[in-house]
Amino acid sequence: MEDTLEIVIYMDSKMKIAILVPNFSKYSGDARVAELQTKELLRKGNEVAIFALEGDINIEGVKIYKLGMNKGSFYERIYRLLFPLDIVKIIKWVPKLKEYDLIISHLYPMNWLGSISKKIYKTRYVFYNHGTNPPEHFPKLYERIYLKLYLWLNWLTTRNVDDVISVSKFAKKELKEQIGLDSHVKYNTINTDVFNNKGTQSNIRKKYGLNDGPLLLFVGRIAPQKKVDLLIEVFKLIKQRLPRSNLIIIGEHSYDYYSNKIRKMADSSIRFVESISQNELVNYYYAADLYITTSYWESFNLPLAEAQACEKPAVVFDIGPHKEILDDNGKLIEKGDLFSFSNECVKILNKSKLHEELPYIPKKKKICLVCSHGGHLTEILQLSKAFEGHEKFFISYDTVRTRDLDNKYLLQNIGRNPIRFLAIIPGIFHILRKEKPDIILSTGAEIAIPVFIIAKIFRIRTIFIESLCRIKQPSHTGQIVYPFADIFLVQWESLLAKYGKKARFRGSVF
Amino acid sequence: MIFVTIGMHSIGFDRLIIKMDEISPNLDEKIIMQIGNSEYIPKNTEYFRLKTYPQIKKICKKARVIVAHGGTGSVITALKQNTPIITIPRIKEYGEVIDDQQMDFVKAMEKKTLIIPIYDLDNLENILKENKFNNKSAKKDDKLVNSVINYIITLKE
Repeated sequence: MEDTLEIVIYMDSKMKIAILVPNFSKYSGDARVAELQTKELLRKGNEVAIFALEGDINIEGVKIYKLGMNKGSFYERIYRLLFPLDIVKIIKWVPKLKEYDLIISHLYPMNWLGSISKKIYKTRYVFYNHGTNPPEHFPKLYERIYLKLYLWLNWLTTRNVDDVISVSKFAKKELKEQIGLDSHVKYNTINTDVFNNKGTQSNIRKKYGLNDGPLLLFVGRIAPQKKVDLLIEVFKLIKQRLPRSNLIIIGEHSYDYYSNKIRKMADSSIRFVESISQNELVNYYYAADLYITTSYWESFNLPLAEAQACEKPAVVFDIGPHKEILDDNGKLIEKGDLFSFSNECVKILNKSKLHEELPYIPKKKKICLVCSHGGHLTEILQLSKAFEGHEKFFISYDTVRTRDLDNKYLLQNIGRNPIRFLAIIPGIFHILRKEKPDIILSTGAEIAIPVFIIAKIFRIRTIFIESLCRIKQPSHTGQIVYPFADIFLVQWESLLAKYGKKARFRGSVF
Repeated sequence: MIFVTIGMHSIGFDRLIIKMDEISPNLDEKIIMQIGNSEYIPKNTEYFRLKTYPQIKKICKKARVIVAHGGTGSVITALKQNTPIITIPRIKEYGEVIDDQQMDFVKAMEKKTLIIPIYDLDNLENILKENKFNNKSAKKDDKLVNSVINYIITLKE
């Protein structure tokens, strides 16, 4: 796989190569990949030129053409999308590409220049795929529409491409799904001249007036798809356990509403750093004890690879290409599980027990546990640790066994009797109205049905866990409760196929 | 001591209770049976219908082996006490249960070698006469507990 680029690019040695990249600036991951690629191609004796809309990177012996564009993140995005309408630029720049043997385009809208040149001059045109954020990761409708258009334009401008290179297996798979395009995989390389463990410890802590507590680091754009809000939530959980922890967030702020939200969430132990060079960046990796990212989407994740090149441990969600890129020092966490994420961080940060460690104390919630009296009760009791520190009460059937429970409402067994079913509804209505629990959790059986329906009326959040005995066949209760439950878990992976998208497998009670 | 339990089920499990009562004179061991709503009353063994959960746990802990229906509660309780468990699934055809989920459950647990299954009650006597049971004890896995904690703390207000 690693030789793919060679096959594609170095068909003839000593070529004239044009590298097209929208933003050839230090903070852009794509630009850093293009920069390394340029240097590599130069070393092999090729002649290389960069064509960029804008940028501040300079490379000795390489001509950098700046096409220019309007400033401001909103205009920039619109301009990029509508780039082909800028006829003046197209007419000015396309002829310049005539003299090149090969065009490598990193990202839309540079593809236009590649695609048009290919059409007119038959120049070899390679598309370097850094992936496109899935539109559904964005909260605002206009952002989703933008990305859908962006994907369509990607498809349009790659129809006559000679070859496509993706930066990970995941990016390859996603490109195939998004626009039906096949590609070769070549992992991004790290500039190991800069990012390695041979440097000296810098005085980052002093610079920001940080204490000697654990230092966590995230590098990446402050954007919704990076889920920086979750990063801060996780950090707060870590701080509860290791109160002297610090977090540095390095990255460009490109969404005002999102940056405002993030800054509001952060306290003084979180520092934001913008605009630094690679040589400065490496000092932050050195200084950090742990690299973390809660991003929900990546095509490669260059900062993670850089942190690892500096021999730092990392904790990340099991998303995108992380499985491919994470090394043995890293830890993959189930997407969205902030609690396990924070636990893992604390474990790594305090491996040598240097820091004062406190137990985790949750913010007190009221939890309602709903189950019939036999195996379903035994199953729910196996989860007792999850309810520690919260107020809890049971809704169950009246039997010898359930009479021993603390805080309970015991009802007559409804079994399969529709009249008894109707008869207990007012009672449940009354219980929920009086108790107002924050969350209802049930392992079944049918007693969950009226409770979950009434919970919907009161807008109480619900979790249903299908019984351990359900291996391949869903229970009637599970099927009825499924549309009402906010979170629906099964205890055997084989049962997932019988339920919709909402169902999750997250282990079992034993 | 052998502890026989058929859970809190509203339906009895006479097939097992009758069989145990029948073979008990051949077994040189004390037998206690929890018979729930079974109609048959054991003649040769100690028995009770229901007890509280702490009492049941105590008996499970003391027992050399547990003979139980294929209910999740009985199986989890036995595994938690580290007592070997022989499991006989209730069968719909005999009116012992409303569907055959216990059969699926017992087979799935058999695959994980956490239980000793019996699908034909005639084998029960021989298996009980064996002294050693090679089933694994359950490993403690906090994955589900941690997920539930995560759901509780990330609850949107």
